[in-house]
Amino acid sequence: MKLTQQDWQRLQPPLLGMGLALVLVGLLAFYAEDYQSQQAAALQVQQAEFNQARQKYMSSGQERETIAHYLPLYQALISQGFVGEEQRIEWIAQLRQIHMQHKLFSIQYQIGEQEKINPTYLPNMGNFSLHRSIMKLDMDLLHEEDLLTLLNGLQQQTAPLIIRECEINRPIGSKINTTLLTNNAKARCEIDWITLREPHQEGGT
Amino acid sequence: MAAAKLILCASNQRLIAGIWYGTKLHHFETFDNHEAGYEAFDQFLKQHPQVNVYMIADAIEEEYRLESLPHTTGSARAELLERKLNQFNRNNLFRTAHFIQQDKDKRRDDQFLFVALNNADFIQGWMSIIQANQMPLVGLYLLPMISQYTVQQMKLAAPNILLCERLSSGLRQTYLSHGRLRMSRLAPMVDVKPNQMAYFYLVEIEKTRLYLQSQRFVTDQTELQLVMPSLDDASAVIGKSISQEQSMECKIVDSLAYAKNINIAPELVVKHPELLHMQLLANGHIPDNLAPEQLTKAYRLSNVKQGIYVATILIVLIGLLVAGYNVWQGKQHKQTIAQLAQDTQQQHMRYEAVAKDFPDTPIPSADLKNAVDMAQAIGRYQHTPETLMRIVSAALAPIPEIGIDRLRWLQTSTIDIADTEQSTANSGAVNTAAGGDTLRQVAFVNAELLNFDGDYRAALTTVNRFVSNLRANVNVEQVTVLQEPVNVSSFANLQGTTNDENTTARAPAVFKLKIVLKPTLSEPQP
Repeated sequence: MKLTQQDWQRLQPPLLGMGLALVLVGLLAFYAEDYQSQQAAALQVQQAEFNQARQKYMSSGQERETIAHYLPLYQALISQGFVGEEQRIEWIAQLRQIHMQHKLFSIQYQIGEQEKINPTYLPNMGNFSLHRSIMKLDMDLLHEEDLLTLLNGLQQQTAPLIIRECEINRPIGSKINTTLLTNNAKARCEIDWITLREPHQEGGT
Repeated sequence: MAAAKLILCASNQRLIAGIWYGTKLHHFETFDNHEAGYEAFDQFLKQHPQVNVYMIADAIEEEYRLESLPHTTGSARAELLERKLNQFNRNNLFRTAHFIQQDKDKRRDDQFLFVALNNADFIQGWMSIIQANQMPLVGLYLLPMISQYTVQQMKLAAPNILLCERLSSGLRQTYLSHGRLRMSRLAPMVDVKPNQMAYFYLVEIEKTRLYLQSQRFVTDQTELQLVMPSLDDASAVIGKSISQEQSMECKIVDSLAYAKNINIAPELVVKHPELLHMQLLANGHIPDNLAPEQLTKAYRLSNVKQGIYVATILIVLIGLLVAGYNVWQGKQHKQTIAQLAQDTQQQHMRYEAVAKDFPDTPIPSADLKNAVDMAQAIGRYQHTPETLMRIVSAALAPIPEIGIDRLRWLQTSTIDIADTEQSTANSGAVNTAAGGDTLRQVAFVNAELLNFDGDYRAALTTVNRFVSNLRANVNVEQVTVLQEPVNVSSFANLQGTTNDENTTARAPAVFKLKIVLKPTLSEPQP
């Protein structure tokens, strides 16, 4: 059937009606679908919240035990300086004390700027952030034991440290003179001073 | 209410127009074939706008031609039929090809009855009014084409039937072979008195019989069954008379009972026998259409419009259903959310009630544990170079000719580290997942052979002994010689001097080792 222009004019109203219906129904379907999707997403969120709340309540006994067990340990960590700000003054005092106590040669120290780290060899940090300051120590040694004395002394401190690298050098061709109290070797160490920060402390840095 | 249909039956004298709702005749009117009739019909149509029109033509001048055509289908058949129609009925506007059957011989040709209105003047006036009112004409049908449905419904199984119907326009004789229309002719009954009716029938039937023989539809030996639908007792008398005179089997059928069967009032059929055919059409027995496409275009357009409306309604309904379902589901979700929010609140309240007795804690319990675990994990790496120093000292004890110049000890997340590199714990790798999940102790030892006398073979033996001593330690995983006192490889240059052993120009015998300790963790320090 060939359609003339007149025929198309006759078909125009129903075609326009169909087009309009398509647009309106499409919009309606789109908004309905959008509404449904939003509600479905909100339901998922609410369901997750409910599950979390229920789980929290169900495990409240365990939580109580956890608090009872870990709170003193955590408070000890705060007092040791592992949680919170670094206690650099105390650390320097400790270093001086070790130096004096063991009559070591002069120790050059340098504590770098604190930085945020996320090492793979440590467990989940939860809401905490982990920070470290790199400490560099340079010293002369009468004997290698001097270095171990210093490092063991530092590790007796309460703040957690990781001794990352130490290098001992003996001057080439030098002979150890057991009659003189003089430096026979040089040592250089890098130590990570690790601290944890609670989420609310994060803005303070 | 069922859709209305306007069914017309036009003869030379008049037009019968009936309105049907479904298969029920609502009312009908007759219009004479002159100006007044046309005007009245025009008014009638205006009362029923946009009703589908079916027109039956009860014409005198009809043409029937039986043809066998090669079996074809689809567009090939349509083209072939169009060509044949142009060949047989070039000048006729109203024509069609009615399929009869397919031959059972080898060629399996298709048999078609080509039907045409030779003179359509008597319907032109009606057609003009229909077109002027833009009424959707469904089609134009010949009355005898509908008559064959009568024979089929009456279950008349004789192979050769001559159906004699008394209509308003005259005596209609239709020949059917095996129930299929082959030919029909209308003999007007003008000034035929009741007592001459039997004779009139006899003469006309004889004429028809001779015509059928001339067209070789039948022979003089063919047993032709005469079927006479009767509207009154006169039919029986006439039938009996013809039977005796023509030696033909005459079957009288009760038209009125049949009319009742097909849902039309018998008293109307007595007055207008054509209403029987119109009723059959209304019942859905629609034969092939003779009207050309241009006359039925309004109907086709109307069908397209209806299709669009139906499609629109379907789209709207489906859209509303989908949207409604989504909204319903959304509401269900909303109700569930509200319920869950209440339950969550309740769980919170229960927890708060229990948590009142908890010790005061600045952070959640999980974080307390995390912090302690972290401190313990760091405590496991509280190593100093002491272990390595002891291992090296033990290995050196039986070899006093070796002196250590440099010792570099590292705790690193990868043992594939070069002496030139810093420990990965100090590099950016510490902040990525590329590093290992533990820290390992690695050391680089630079040493020399004291009092070296230029005997490289002895020097190599001494170094190998030192390395063996190191490897013998249970805490050592791997010892690699990075630099030998002398490089004896064929792929490197080798130079020196054979001067006296005590010469001061002799090069020192230095070597370098890489030692990897087995992973060990210190006791956790809470």
